[in-house]
Amino acid sequence: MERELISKKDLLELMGISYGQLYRWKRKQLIPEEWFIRKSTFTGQETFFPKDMILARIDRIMNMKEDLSLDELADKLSPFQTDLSLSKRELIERNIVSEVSINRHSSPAQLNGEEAYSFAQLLFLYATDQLLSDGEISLEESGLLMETLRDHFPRYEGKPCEVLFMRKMGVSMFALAAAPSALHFDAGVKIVARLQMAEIAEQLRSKLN
Amino acid sequence: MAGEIIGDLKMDGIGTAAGGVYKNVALNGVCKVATDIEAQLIDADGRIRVEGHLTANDLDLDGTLDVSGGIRAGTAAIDGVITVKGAYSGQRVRLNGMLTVGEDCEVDVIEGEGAFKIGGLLNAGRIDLKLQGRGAAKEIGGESIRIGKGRTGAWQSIWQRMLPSFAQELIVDLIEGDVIELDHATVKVVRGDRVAIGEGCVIDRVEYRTELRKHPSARIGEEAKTNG
Repeated sequence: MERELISKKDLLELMGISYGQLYRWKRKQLIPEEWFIRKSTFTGQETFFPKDMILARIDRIMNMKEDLSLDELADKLSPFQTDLSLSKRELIERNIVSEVSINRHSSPAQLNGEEAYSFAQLLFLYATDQLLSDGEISLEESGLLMETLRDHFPRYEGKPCEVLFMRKMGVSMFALAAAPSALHFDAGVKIVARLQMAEIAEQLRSKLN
Repeated sequence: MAGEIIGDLKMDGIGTAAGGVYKNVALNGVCKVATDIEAQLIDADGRIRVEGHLTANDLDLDGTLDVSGGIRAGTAAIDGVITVKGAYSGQRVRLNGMLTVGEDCEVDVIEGEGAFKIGGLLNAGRIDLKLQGRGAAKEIGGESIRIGKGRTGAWQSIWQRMLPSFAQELIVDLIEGDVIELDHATVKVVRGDRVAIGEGCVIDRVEYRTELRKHPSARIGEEAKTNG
């Protein structure tokens, strides 16, 4: 997954903010550590950011910082904390999750529009749907992933974690692991997909807003 | 840690204490804390070692403190030598002595005099430090960064001749901030809004937005004015 990056210098110029503000927001955990990507360039080390995510984030910070203190902002911006919910119709209209996934993994009440999807449910659906539409997992396996996420994701209590999908000798399995983690498997294991849940949540949020 | 407050811990002399959650902690002498410790006030005098994480609203150190984990402290008054393997985060640090942090050090204000060594990023809203020894960090970032040489006594120059690490100099790869004032600094890249490069500086590259002031004795490789 190659994504567009923006250098720190360009970011500051584009958004009209200063180094001090950026460092302050980082200190207050308004900008996650993982977004600071270090690369060496001809002028030495430079820091880059995932462009779409950082621009959206700074926009939000600038809009909200008038009314909220930085600490209150940090709670608001935590990737998994949100009270957004969406109905099935909206989901399909805004093309967030494919209809196949929706039909397969929703409760009857959600399907006929009586019940909305909570953010957590949306997150699981979105993650599953992404792997499914990339052709990494089969429809059957997607059910297994939904189950894994439902059972174990809440235990991380909003701490960063990642989903791993592995195959060995035709047997597939899912795992959730705290991120960042170094995992090593025997040679027969193939890691088919690896998803950072915080990143998925971020993508989903930017689609919802 | 969501434990209930169990009272105070007071220790004098030589000994080892279990960690845990306390209201007030007073350690005097040669003390070791075996696990994570959390308290409202930690007053440490002497030679203290913590095998784990230290969390305190107020930390008052006179002596040496070694922490094998990280520190989270609201305000800290450090008179002596503090060594942290992990990361340091807090609001205010008043330093009179030496601060060593293995990873990042993130505080709102750090001021005082002495020496420091930060393995990662020193990120602070306001940095106001006078160096009595060497200041080293991989990166420094913040709003206002003022780091310069402290006063020099007769003993200082004798020490410096014997031990190079007593040299009053700042060595950093990258400094970024709004207002930056440095002297006796060796830095690869300095980026800021208003930058003052003082006496005895060796800077490979300076990028500034509003103004750059430089001392005649400062050596600057390249300088560039950025717009915005």
